[in-house]
Amino acid sequence: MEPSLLSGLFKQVVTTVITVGSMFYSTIDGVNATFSDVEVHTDGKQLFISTQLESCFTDDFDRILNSGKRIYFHYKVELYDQNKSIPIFSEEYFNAISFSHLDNIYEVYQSHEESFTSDLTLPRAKTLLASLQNVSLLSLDYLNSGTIYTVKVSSWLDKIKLEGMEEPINLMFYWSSLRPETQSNPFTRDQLNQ
Amino acid sequence: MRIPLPSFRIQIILLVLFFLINSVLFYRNYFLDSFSNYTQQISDLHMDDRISELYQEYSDQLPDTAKSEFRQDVESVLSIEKQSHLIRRIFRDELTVYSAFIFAFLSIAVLILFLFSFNLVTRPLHRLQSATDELSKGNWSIQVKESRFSPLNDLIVSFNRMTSELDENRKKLVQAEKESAWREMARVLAHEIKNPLTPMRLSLERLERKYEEKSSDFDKIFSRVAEVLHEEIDNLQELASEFSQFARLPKANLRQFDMADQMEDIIEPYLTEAKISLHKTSNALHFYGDRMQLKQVFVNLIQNSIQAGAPNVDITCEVDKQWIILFSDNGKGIPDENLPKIFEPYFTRREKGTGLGLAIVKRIVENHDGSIHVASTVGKGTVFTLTFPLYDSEKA
Repeated sequence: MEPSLLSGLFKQVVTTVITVGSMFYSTIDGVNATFSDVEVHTDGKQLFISTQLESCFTDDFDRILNSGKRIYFHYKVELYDQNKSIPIFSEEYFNAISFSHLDNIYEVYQSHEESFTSDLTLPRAKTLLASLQNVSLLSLDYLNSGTIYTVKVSSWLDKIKLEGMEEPINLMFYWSSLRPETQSNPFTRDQLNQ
Repeated sequence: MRIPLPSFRIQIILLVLFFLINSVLFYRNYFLDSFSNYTQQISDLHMDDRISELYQEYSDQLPDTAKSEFRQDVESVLSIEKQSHLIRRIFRDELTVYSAFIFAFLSIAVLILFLFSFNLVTRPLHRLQSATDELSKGNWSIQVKESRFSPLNDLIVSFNRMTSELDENRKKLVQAEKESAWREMARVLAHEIKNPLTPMRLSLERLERKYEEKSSDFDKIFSRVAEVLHEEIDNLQELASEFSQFARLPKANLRQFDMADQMEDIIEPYLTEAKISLHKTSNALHFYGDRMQLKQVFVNLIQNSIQAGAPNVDITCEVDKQWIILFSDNGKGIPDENLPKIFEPYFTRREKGTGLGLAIVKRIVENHDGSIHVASTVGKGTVFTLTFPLYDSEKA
């Protein structure tokens, strides 16, 4: 057997073993990310929600944040009439983080506020990245009196491509491939106005 | 209590498994350690700090228009450097896990290949061993299954050829022995039949002659001839009976009997011809066997001693872990060259004998799972030693 043929065969075997192995076992230690209770409130005109992702970072994840690569935390917020299966309101938001190596500071962009927050330390940046605070959903005029509503919030991460790496890394592995989801307590428009 | 050792095959397999696992673990650990050292050495270079220092040193010297672009470029380089760190870390983690998969897979593959090759060698050897055992048990037609892929297949082919040739030669030998036995039997039969025929013919011719001569002593001659004819016919009948008995020994009728009584009954008629003494170690000698067939054995042996001219015959019966019966006489003895042949059919040293007596004795003894041996010195005497196993009831 020629050496090139042998090495080709060996490479094929190794690739197959890794592919099959990765189907059953991930090299990344994931965590179970969860949301804090969803707080639903109003200013008399608009409906707002606030919540926070918890247990969503690991040491390896911190290294990824520190790589300088822009990382996105996606959120989806849905408002349900409890008697209907289709949401009456659905919107996606994201928080993005980037790191400046020269200044050694973090910057977080929150899409629901369309604002950048700079000069952040890593702990502060992580808190902002994982939070949805005072997210305005819709005008109270769209809510019917007497109807019971709930708000569902879920989150997910992208795949990122690192320089020099053939395959992108699915960041969801750091959350054990599970989308954290939460749901608010049922509420009515009247309850919000009280 | 001694723990039994596993078979040689299992020992080899365990040894190979031990070395295989240790080599794989050693190689994997060496590989991972080398990689960790390599990444650590790269980290120790602190490339990001150096680049940052370079930026600090040179950014002030650039015009304002180029500063922003330079900063972006440096940030990009630093990002790539950080990402390469991250990639190395991820790669090391993957290497740690996947190398275990790869080495486990390769170990299993190597082990399977080894077992397959090992089997190719040991299985034919095992078959050959079984075949030689069968051969030793007398199964001459044994053939070992050939295995085309085995390196020992040539040996198997040679073994099969050897057993085929042995079987063929054995068959030829058996056929030759059969033919020889038939020829010998025909010779003995012809000789034994001719012996009485001659006196019968002579007696009849004499009777005819006396009748034609109208001899006065015809009646006397007639009586004498009739006596001769009766005698010779009896001889012929005995001859036929002896041959028949040798050819088809009846099935042994096994039962328990007193050996001492049996011996005393047998000895009594021969006491006029020789001094026969019976020695027994116990009064109760219960033997389990065919009484009639064993009587024939003992009668034959006593007659043999008397025909050898022995004035004294000593018979000893002992029972210990087995039955031992000794027949010793002080007859003329048997020459050494004849000793191996005395149990063969048709071998005789007497003029009037079929040579079947001791052959029948041997067959009866062996039918009782016993054995018979002879020791003799010419001029001093002969000793026949018979041994029989104790049956369960006798052991109890």
